[in-house]
Amino acid sequence: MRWRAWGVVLVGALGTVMSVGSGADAQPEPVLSVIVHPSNRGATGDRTALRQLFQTKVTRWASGERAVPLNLPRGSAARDAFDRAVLGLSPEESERYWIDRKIRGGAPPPALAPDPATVLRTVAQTPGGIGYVPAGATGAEVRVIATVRDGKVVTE
Amino acid sequence: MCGRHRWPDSALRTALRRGIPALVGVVTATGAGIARAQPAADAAAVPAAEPVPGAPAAAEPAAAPAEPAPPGAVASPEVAALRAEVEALRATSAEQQRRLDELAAKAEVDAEPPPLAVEPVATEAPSLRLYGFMDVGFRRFFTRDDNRLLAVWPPAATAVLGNVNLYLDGRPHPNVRTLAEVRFSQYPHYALTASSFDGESTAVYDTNSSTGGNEVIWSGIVLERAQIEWTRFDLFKVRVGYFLTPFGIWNVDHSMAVLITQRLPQFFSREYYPTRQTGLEISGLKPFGDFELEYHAWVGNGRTHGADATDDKMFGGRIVGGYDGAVRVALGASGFYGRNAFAQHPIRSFSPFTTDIVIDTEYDEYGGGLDFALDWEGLRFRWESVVAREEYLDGRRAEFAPGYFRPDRTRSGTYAVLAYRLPWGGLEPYLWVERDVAVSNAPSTIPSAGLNVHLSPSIQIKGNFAWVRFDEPDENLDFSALDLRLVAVF
Repeated sequence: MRWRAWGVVLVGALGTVMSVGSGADAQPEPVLSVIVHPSNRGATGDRTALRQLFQTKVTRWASGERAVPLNLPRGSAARDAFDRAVLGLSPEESERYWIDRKIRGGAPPPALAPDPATVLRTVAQTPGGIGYVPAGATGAEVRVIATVRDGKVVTE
Repeated sequence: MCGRHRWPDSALRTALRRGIPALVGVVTATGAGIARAQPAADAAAVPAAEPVPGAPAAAEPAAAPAEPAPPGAVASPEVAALRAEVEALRATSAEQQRRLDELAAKAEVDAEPPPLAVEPVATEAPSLRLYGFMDVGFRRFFTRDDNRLLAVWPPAATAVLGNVNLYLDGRPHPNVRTLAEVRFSQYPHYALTASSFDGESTAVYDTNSSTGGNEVIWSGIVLERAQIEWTRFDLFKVRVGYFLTPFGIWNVDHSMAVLITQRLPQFFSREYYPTRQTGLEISGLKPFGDFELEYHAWVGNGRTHGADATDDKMFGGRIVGGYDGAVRVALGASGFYGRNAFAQHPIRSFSPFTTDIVIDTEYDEYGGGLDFALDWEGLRFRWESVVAREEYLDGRRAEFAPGYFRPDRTRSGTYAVLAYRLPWGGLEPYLWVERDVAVSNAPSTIPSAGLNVHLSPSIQIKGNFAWVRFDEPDENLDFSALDLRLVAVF
């Protein structure tokens, strides 16, 4: 194998790379309600606390109850909006963050719920549960501790 | 599932998908028809010149809701009947719309939920996750013909199989995690060792195949780590087993899938500190707003990964202070101290059976390191510095070659790498510089440049060119290296 052959391989690889683009369409971000179990009176919805929970750096509530954060699937508008506002990470950065974490052998990411209905149901049934759903989809079965709107976290 | 009746998910969705538009259509048409009919009907009783108080502008007559006739207006019985009918229809329409809105809002919520992709709380059944990373690539060394290390760095282009690492991540209990990481390799097929550069083939006949004559390469699995963690408290986690020594950045980041460059610092590849421990580690993390403090403390066998020959153990720790905001920074300090002993176990006699423990190598070892990491938007900076010393006990120096004994030695190394992720093409060029002070050869300086191409968060192409330059009198050891890798995380 000579240099020319390796050069062809390299140029081909770079060509593939340059064809990769980000085709994300600009769409309004959804407004989200951050919810916990109604019995969780000590939960605070400030951004720092949420970030620590959803980065699984903090795994317990102040009461000692196990925190059970629930994420929506990557690629959903709600997940992207939440990651940007709370973690300060773009979708790609968020994916990268969790890849790095697992390869380092760190604590696993939050559990993944397939849709807001599952988040709502699970949080309503789990004393340590915390998740986020589109605003307006909540009821008395959960407690809203924060609202994510326009990239900002507003504590309730 | 609650006791009250719920529609099956698919049925509810189908009904809503078909029913809501139809119902909305009916309601809209009815409402619009009523709205259109209303002015005409009222026109018969109310002079057109008299506007209805509170009605919208005339530009939107069709959408304007009909208002009650002004006081004093005279309405015929037919108009009154029509008005009553309109009011009834309007009320019905409003009620239907309200119920539709409720249904639409709760459709997702009331739908039969599919099971969680990952159970949020460990269930009775132990769970196991499999993931890992691998890299393949191309490498070529460039060096002079009289370089005495040609056997190690032959100047030939070669394709290489790097790491094929598999993680087995289990959670047998909500507070317990098991993690084993293994590396599949082609070793010891033609492997070089510290004492021999005569690699040997491990190819064997596959006697279990149909022909029995084809060759397969018998190879080994490298255990990277195998640990059990107790994670009940964030401030006090316990890890036991065979784990990566919490020291600096490189040993923790561990994989070129995470690290900026595939190039290994000399202090890592030559193990100025023991990169793994068999023992116990406690760790914890305490956030203070956007700041956080992390600690690790461990005790282990030191360099002896198997059974220890003495009661002397190695101790170490690491502390990291960080800020996790728009800019992410972390400053860490690591250290270790311990005594290593390597023993022979000769059998003195078989009858009676008598053995002995002869410690042939024993030395104290200590060292420390500082590290700094910064992430700001597309910028990544890493700096790490290590110094370590070995002091041998009299008569127990390591004999690394027949008649050659290792002196006490102090080794140090430092590197800094600066990378910037460009906003297009996933391109991340970087610069690296390293300074290494060893004992077996003159100090070296290693500038390096590279380019990472992030095809996706889990796939990268990594290219690196390094110039390894030794101080006098070892200039003939100089070499350069080109290394290209395709790295994938799975």
